[in-house]
Amino acid sequence: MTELLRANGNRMGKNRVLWISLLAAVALELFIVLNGCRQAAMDTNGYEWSLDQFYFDAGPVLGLFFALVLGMFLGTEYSDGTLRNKLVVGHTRREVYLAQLVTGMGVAALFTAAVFLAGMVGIPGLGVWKMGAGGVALSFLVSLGFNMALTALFALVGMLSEKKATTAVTVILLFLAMAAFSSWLNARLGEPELDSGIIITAQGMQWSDPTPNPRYIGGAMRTFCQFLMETMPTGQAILLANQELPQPLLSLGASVVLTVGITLVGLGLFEKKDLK
Amino acid sequence: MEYVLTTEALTKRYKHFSALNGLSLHVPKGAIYGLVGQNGAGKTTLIRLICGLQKPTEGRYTLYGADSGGKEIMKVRRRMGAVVETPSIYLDLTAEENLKEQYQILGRRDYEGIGPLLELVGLGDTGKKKARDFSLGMRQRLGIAVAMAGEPDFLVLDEPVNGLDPRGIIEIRELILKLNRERGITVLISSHILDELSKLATHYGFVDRGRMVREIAAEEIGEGESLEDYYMDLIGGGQHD
Repeated sequence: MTELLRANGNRMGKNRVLWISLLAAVALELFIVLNGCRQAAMDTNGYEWSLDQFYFDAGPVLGLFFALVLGMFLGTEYSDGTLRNKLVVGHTRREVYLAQLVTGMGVAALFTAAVFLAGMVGIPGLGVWKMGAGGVALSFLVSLGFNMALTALFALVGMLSEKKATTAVTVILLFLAMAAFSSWLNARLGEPELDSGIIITAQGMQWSDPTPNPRYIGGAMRTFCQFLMETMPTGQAILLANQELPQPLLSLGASVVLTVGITLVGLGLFEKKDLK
Repeated sequence: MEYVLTTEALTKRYKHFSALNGLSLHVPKGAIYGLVGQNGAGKTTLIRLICGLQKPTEGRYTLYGADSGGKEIMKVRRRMGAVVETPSIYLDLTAEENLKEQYQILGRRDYEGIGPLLELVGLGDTGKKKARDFSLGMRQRLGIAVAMAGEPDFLVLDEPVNGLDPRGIIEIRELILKLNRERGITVLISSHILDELSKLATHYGFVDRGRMVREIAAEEIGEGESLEDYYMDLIGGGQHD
C-alpha cells in the first residue's frame, strides 16, 4: 500500500484544485479572524472580545473545500481508467481503497491544520485563546475527527461512483445537505421553550403570560437531536464554531466510529464491484 | 507446451445476460494470440476477468500456473501488463509523469527506464505536452508504455487499433511485433479487425456468444485462405465448422 500512497501523494501534489481550494480555505479563515480583530479594535463598549469567538467559524464550511478536491481526485481514477493500472499489477481492492482513503485523510488533515495555523494571525489583535492551549488542542482533534469522518464518506462515494462529474457533484451536495440539516437542527434546538408573551399592537407593547413555543423540541426528542448534533460531523463543526460543544470526547469517539463504519461498508461494496 | 494463460469453463453472468459461457482458452508462451470475435462475443469480458477487474461467476483461470482463486495470483500479476478497452492514462499529466506514476505504483524507485520506454513507443519527444492533447494513436501508445512499465512478459491488449488511422494502426502493429520478437513478450490481443490481426497473430481463438469455438495456430489457415474466410466459415457453419 505504501507504493500506492506514494503514487497518490505525487499526483495530489500536482493537483491545482487542491492548492486553489487550500488557498481559498486559508483566505476564508484569515478574513473571518481579521474581521474579528477589526470589530474588536472598533468597539467602544468595553466588550471582551476573544480569538475563540472567530477561530472555529470556518469549520462548518471547510468540508466543502476538500469535498471538491476529493471528488475530482477520486473521480479521475474512473474517468481516466487508471484504477485498472493498480489492480492489473496485483494490488488488492482493499489496498486500493485504503490508499485512496488515507490520501483523502491526508488532504483533510492538511486543510484542518492550515486553517488552524492561519487563524493564529488573530493573536496580536484578539489575544490568545481563552480556552487555553489544552482546549485548542482538543478542538483541533475534534476538527480532525469530524473531517476524517467526512473524508470516509466522500471516499465511499468516490470509490463506488464511476463518473467523475457525478462523484464531484454528489459529494458536494451530500456535504451541503448535511450542513443544511445540521444548521436547521441547531436553529430548532435554539428555540426557547416559552414564547415571551410580548405582543406588539397599534397601541404599543402589551404583555401577557408566556406561552409554550410550538417550535420547541423537548423531552426524549431533544436528547436525541442533541446527540445527533454532537455526533454528526457537520453538527460538531457548528457546535465548535459556537463554542457549544459540551462533550468533545463523545464527539471525537463518534467520529472514529463513523469513520470506521463507513470505511467497512465502502470496502465491502468495492470488493464486490464489477469494474470496467 | 508451456502456457502463460489458461482458462477453464469461464463463465460470467450479469443480471440480465451471460457474457461468457464456459470459455476455455490456452495462450502459449511467446505467442501473439489473437482473440477473434464480433462485438458482444465476450472478448472484453474475458480480458476484464483475467486482469482481475471482475470475478468469474463460474470457472477458473491460471496465470503462469497460479490459480485465480489463490493468493499467489496477486504476485504473478506483476508479470502482466494490460490495456483494457481504452488506454489508462492520466490526461492531465505528461507522458513522462504518467510513467513515473506507474513506476511508483509498482514500487520502482529508479526512473532511468522511462526515457528508453518512451522512445520505444515513439513518444520520446512529447516533452511537457499533457496526455489530453495527444492524438488517439499517441494515447494508445502511452497506454502500452504504461502497461510495459513493470517490464511484463505478458501483455494483454484489448482492441488496441480501434479508432486509429492507417498510420496509427501500422505503428501499433510494428510495436507489438517488436515487443514479441525482440523481448519475447507473449501478447494476447483482441480484435474484430481480421485483416490487421492476420498480420500479427501466431495463434487464434475464435469466440462466439461467450464460448471458444476453436483455437488454432496461424499455420493451420490454408495458403490462399484468409483469416476472414476461415472465420466466416467457422461461425457461419461452413467447411471449418
